[in-house]
Amino acid sequence: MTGSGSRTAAASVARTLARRGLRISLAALLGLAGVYVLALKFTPVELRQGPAQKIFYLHVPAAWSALIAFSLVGVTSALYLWLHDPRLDRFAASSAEVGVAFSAVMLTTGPIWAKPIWGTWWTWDARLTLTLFLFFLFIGYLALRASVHDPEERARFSAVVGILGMLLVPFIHLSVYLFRTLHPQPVVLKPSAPSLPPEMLRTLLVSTAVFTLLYVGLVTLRYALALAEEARDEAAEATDAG
Amino acid sequence: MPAETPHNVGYLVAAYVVAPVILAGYLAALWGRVRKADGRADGQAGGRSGGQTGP
Repeated sequence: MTGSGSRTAAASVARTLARRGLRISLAALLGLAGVYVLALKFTPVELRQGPAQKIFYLHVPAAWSALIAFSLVGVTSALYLWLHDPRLDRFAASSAEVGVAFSAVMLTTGPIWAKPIWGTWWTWDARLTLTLFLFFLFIGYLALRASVHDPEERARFSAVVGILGMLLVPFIHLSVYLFRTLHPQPVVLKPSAPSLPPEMLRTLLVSTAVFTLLYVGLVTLRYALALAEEARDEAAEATDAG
Repeated sequence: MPAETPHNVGYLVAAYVVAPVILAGYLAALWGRVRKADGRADGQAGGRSGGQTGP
């Protein structure tokens, strides 16, 4: 296939993926509306915390999606350093950006929930501080990607940062056991059975599934964007060379 | 006697508004960037072949 033919094929794949990603994301946002109905109408109010406890059904799935996203950045970055497949680098970049979006949800809903329950918007304890640090680390990852123009150098440098970011994820999960913290311990992802009433557990699991679907949709769309940008840059280079 | 359930529905509303605004806003921005990149790629390919130009 000629250079022009491969660019056209890449642009065509990008369009198909973009449409698929948009459809999945819109379906997930519709699912989020369903989660709102489930949480507000069919899930009981927790008596000690009141209605604010229902922020749990957004905060925890957003945290789940963000941590899955950053873990996958690390895994695909390590695989990139081994295999040098540009698709792995593209996926890592996509997952990092989407992870930052989910982190933004986690870091805004968390303080909104903390204020009525803890009496403060924020506290510099281990779980919260490490999560904020992870957020800034991946902002740095995206800034690094934007500042290095050589694709191979960019992929190599950012893969190292991505792997370092992934190493923080299990530490964040275990931080509530390792340090004294206001943040509650896990109620589902723990060695014993989930400590939630069945209605609350059902709503949490449905919301987690919807957020995971949204992650898939957004990563697909962001991957399509990376492909489209590469096709555009290659076309520009071919135009300059011609 | 059980303690009274707190009235803090305002915080619930704030969180339930902020989360979809961030996520839908990101989706819209991402879709806009895809359209822009796709349009420019079309424009450059079209310019090279002397044919159509993108938006």
